[in-house]
Amino acid sequence: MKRKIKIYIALAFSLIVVGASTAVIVASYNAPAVETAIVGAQSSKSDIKLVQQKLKNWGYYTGSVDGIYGSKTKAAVKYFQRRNGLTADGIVGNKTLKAMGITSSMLSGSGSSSTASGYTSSDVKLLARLIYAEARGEPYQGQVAVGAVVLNRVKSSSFPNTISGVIYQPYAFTCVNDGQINLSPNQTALKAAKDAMNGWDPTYGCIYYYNPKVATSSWIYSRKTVVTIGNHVFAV
Amino acid sequence: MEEYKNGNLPSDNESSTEKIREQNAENRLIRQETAKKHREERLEKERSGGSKKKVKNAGWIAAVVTLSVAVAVLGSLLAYNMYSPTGSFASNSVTEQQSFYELVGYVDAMDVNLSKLVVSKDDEKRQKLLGEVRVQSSLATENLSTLAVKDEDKYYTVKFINQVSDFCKYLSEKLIDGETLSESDIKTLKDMHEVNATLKQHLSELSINLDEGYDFKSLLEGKDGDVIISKFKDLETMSTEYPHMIYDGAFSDGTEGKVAKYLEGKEEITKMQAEDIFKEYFSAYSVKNVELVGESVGEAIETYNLEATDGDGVMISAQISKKGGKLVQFNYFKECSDDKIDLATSRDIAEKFLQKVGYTELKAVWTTSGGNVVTINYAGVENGVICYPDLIKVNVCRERGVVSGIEATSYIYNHTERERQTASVSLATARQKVEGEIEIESSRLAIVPKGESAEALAYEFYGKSEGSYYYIFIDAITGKELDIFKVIESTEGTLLA
Repeated sequence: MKRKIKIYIALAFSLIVVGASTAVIVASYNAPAVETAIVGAQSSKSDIKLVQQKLKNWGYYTGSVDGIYGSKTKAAVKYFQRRNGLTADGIVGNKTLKAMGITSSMLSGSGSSSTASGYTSSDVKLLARLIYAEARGEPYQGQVAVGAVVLNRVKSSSFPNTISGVIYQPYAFTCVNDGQINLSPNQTALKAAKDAMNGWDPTYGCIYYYNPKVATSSWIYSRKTVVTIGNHVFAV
Repeated sequence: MEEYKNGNLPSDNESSTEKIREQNAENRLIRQETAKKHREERLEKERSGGSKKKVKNAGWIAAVVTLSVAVAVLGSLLAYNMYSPTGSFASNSVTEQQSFYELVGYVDAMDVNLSKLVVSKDDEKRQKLLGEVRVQSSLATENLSTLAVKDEDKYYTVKFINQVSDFCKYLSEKLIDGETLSESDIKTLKDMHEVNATLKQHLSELSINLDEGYDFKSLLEGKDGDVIISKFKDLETMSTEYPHMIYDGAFSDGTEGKVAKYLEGKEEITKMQAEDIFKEYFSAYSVKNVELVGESVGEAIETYNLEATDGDGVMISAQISKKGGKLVQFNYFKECSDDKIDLATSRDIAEKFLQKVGYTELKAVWTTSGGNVVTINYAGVENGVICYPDLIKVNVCRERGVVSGIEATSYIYNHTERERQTASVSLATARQKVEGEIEIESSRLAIVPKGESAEALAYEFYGKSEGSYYYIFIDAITGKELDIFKVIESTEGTLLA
């Protein structure tokens, strides 16, 4: 009897772990598995100060409220997380903010994305990843332009009607095939994605781009060129 | 993008692909080791002859082994799907099959409903059928886009199905507004049904062919002469027979041939003049090496593209219209890591710059919640009426207090001297309509875009309902509710949806 129970427990345990690991794998396929930092070293001083002030008020932090997310602040965040039943990783994500009683409206926000077109912040991140994977060696204007092409495709009748639909369409982007789409974008790519979503389009409606140095398809040359930026030719 | 590019990417590309390969190899290794362990455990168990203690442990061991095998297999399956070494897609022949047969199914269903639409005379029934076709066509598009056929080989097929969906949306909105379908609407529906029937026929021929032992791997590998790819290529050549569709919708063929109203009648400038304009506009940026790097030949806007570097060598790229020499857009990306300048000052900085580059009569209508770079949206003002189509966006870096970008294409497309309209619905009447929906905090008259190409005079109401803020627009001529926007606070800033 005892043995049976143990096996049952073992099975249940293994199921839970398998379930959890699957979730992690699936999550890492779609998005980073760890909670994304909302307030971190890259954040504005006022946001970091807000976090530091809260931690100081509650006695988790003894340093000065200076708006610098250094090792002392990180240690205080970890201490706070441990005491509040959160994963002590020093990353101030949604859960940690919630536990601190900080809402997103209290933060200055990590950037700018006012748009009337209804794109979500996960779209910004996906677009930034595409820009980083496809055009990180290009001038800033060229990175915005690649983002604009994706959005022009979303608006075009001949392509899927969502950002992810356009990006993951077969044959559309090599970075999806070779896995580079999963690399973390840098600040430049993120800003370029936001600018593209805010309407910056240096290509005036282009839905194609290619590098003439390596382009092999003769079909692509039949499209009308609008502009060349860096290594890329943009066409309609 | 397409396979025709790359090679210009930075050197760490290779190393990251390398990493992925290593990861795959690692997964394989883990799998092999786990299998080995599993074998050893089994042998051990057999040898032990079932002693009670060992068996007790075996439960745990079996569980742990099952779990590690499961994890390794799952991991490697996903990894295989994601980064197949042969360079195939994040998809496999099973999902390809599913996409294909679902596409066939939805095109069939569209056929039935489109034919009913042509016959039906009852508006309620039509409304229902239009709704069904819309859903079926969007699902058809979705499946068609995941099918491993190059986009140039399905360009017009996707376009056709998207247009069906968009046209049905347009008709359904017409019915909701109490209008009836015109003869030409019915004619277009008939044409669409015909094209769809041909598409359906070709797809069903194809699926009959596939019944004879077709392997979807052939599609994934993009083999020459693959029946599915060939069929879609054939369909593209038929596209000349597709109806030319003009209606007030996003995918209407009529939206081609856009004009830039603001540039009409303006004189063309020379390259030299463009350079001078650039130098003047960016005089405060201590620019060096001003250079004309190219031209953009857009459908309605043609520009000279100039570049220069600031004192620190950071690039400023600007596009100046050939007609009229207007600054259409510019970008100046420089690290911006503080927000010491407040929003009001940022607005002053933006307005001073707009004045300098010749954009006047504007009002700030929308600002993001902040951050180190703030985006301020300006709309034109005519006779005290806000003109939303004439939109200019300005980025200001709050660390250095400089304008770091401008985007004025909407303004250039739409700004023109408008005929003065007078509201036929009073503010009080419009207000009554909105009062039950939100607690109004402010109201004003505005010109807003209506459909894809028209504009309407409207009353704008801003207010709160259950803790959220909304903008509601009431047509000042018809009194109908034109649009409603919700203000969404997100970690990325404030959004209008």
